[in-house]
Amino acid sequence: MQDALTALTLGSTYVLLAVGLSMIYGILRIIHVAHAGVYTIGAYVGYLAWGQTGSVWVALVGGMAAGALSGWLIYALMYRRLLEAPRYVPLIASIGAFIVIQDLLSKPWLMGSDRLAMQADPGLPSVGVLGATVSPEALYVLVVTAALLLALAVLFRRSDIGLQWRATASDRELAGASGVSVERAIASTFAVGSALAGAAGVTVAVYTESVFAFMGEVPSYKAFVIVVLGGLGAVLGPVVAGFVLAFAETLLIANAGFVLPRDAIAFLILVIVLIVRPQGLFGRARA
Amino acid sequence: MSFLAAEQLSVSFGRLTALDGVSFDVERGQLVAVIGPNGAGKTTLFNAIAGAVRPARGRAVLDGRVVSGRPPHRNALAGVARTFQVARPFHELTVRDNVLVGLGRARYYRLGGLLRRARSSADIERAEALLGDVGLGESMERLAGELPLGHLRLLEIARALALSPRLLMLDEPAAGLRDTEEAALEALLRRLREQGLTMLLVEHDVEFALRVADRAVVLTAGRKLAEGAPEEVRTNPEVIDAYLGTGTEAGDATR
Repeated sequence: MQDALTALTLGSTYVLLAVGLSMIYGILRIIHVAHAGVYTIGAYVGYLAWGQTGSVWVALVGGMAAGALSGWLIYALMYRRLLEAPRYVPLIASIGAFIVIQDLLSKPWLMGSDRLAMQADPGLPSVGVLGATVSPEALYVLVVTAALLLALAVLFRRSDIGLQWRATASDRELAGASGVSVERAIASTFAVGSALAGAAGVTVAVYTESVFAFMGEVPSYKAFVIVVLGGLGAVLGPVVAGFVLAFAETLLIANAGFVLPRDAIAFLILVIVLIVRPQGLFGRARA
Repeated sequence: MSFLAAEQLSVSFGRLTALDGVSFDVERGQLVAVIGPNGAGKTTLFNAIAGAVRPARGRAVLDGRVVSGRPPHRNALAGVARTFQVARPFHELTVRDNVLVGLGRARYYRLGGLLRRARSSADIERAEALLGDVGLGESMERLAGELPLGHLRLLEIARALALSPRLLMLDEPAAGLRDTEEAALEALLRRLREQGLTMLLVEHDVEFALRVADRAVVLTAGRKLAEGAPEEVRTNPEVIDAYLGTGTEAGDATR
């Protein structure tokens, strides 16, 4: 049971990061590697906001705002100029942006040290569930993830902008011919997806009690695994895939005495699934 | 002045002139068909008017407002709605949501309109009425990608009508339809015409086009060959020549 709770918490952080990545892939069909940089920026700004106020909730809002802003800037300054270029061009630009973000944050003159401790108190209780314990930090991760995913679902299903996102992701030209403001749909996808990445950064920082410049490295790869498993561009798919992956990792390590390190498992699963189902677990093959 | 005026429209793709100085007028409430052999430039003409390709020379004016060379979403807001030759729904959306996308357009450019509910009961009612009109009342919850071709063509029209168009542009709506589906389409076009909608129809199927149209413009090799009432066009020796003569398949490459 304790393992299941760990997996749920871990899965939450995967999902927050991967959903935004999948939204962005869905609407622009670009591999947005710098998304993990946005996640790192979100964590740092969350750390600073927490340092000022001592509140993890202010940290969350700050991290999400910083995420939204930096994600939107990456789109407006970089991808928007590369939309007509071959697809490897925005990919390489994205890798470059990610490296720049990591390098800047690791510089002593910017943040002092490249690893910062963040012993934040979420002000939440510990909760016992079936003999296992949910720590305050884990509860914070779970509450934030549940609330944000619910809000995202409402936005997608019920709002004008959600309908425009779905229409633009489905067929950009047709969306334009239907009166959708395609430019605004893309920009807002970046802002919202990146706000989720910022939230992922802050929750991970609170959960692991640390922030460091290269914290986005492994999550960046793993988010891609999840997005591909979930069916590229889908939104529900990565949510399910993120939790499946977290459970698989945790249970294999805890119970099967699995010899591979945790991070290798994700890629092993990816390779196996891609061989069996190239369109991802939940993706539909398209003509 | 006429409602829609194409004025000396020319479009080039590289060295190839796909459309060469084509002019014609459409009066308000008319259904005008553009016909011609393959490669005559029908779809290029259509795209030039809709804003999807930029004309090298000339322009299209709708009710005093230039529509050619402007981004399609601007034209959509100005009341130019189009369907596509290859039926092209939002595959992942339900049939009803396909129509709802167009219904929301007036709000999309307003700040603060973004978080509004997409599914107001007025919008849903309107979407369902439109789908009922075109004969898709039974399929509203289905994913558009699952519809058969005949239904997709009808959905294209319902989606275009959601823009409350002042000009409806139909790109080969009858292509690939079975006889019963074609009859349903014909009845729908007649109903829309009776409601006073101005329509421009590009059609490969000459018989279908001349049955429903008030007037027809005949293109061949990027130029206007003839223009007039269906009967005039049908009996025009030059038109007969273009269809029966060498022109029939020769110009495919210029599409």
